[in-house]
Amino acid sequence: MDASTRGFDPLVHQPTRLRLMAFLHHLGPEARVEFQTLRRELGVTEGNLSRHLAKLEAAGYVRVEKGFVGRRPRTWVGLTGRGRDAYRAHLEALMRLLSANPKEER
Amino acid sequence: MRRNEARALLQAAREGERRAQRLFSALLGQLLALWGAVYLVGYGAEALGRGSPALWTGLVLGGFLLSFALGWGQRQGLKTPAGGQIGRIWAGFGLAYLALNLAGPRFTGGGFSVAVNLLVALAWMASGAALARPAVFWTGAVYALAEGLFAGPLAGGYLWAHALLGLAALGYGLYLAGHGR
Repeated sequence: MDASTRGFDPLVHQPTRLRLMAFLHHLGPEARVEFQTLRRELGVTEGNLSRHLAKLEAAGYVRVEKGFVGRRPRTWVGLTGRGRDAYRAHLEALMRLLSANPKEER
Repeated sequence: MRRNEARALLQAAREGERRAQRLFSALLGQLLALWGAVYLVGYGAEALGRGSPALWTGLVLGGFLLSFALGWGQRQGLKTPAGGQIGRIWAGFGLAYLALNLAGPRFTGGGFSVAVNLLVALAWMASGAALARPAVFWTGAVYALAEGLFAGPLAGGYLWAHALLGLAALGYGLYLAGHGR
């Protein structure tokens, strides 16, 4: 891996997952968002969000907790420390890429 | 990966951050608009000579009930340590407000309104510190200073100043709640 791709994470790279992780990261450490709120704010379908969350959870980037409020099931989603590190590293890799080789896109 | 793709992805990340910010700003905007309306109606009525204790009681009770309902609604979708702190700060303000009401003029003399508004300013400053948002902290600090000025040297404009402040808060709150910036 060379300097320009250091921190680049293919899992975070997918645009919806990147937006999702940016959203959770911006809410701060230990923040948890309810699944439906997350779905509404990101403008994605339930199935789409579930699939992305499953991938991120398998990698240990998000924590998914299920519970009940009264009789209503609720799912809470939060970014893990590992997820925060991966998001930051990926963002830095993207910014490095943008600042390097300015002639490449011409 | 090409730079164009990297730029598009960075924009996707910024969009995610903006949406998270909007979630925070929506509640802040709703609360600002609500209490702006309370100040506008309460102090505006007093400035026009139509104020009454019953009007204030109704406005403040309604304001508190709606504020806690809005906070409860927000907690159904989002839980953050800062949110918990904000809830405790304003619950503390509510208790202090109740204590001031019970202590009455014996404790505050003629400065009940000033005492309450200084508590509001303090709660704003504490909220700004909890949210790590300097703009909210300094809004509270400037409000405390303005309260001191209008309670002292500029006392003649106290009621109108607060009604105007309420109008400004109502307008800005509606803008925040609508645009979520």
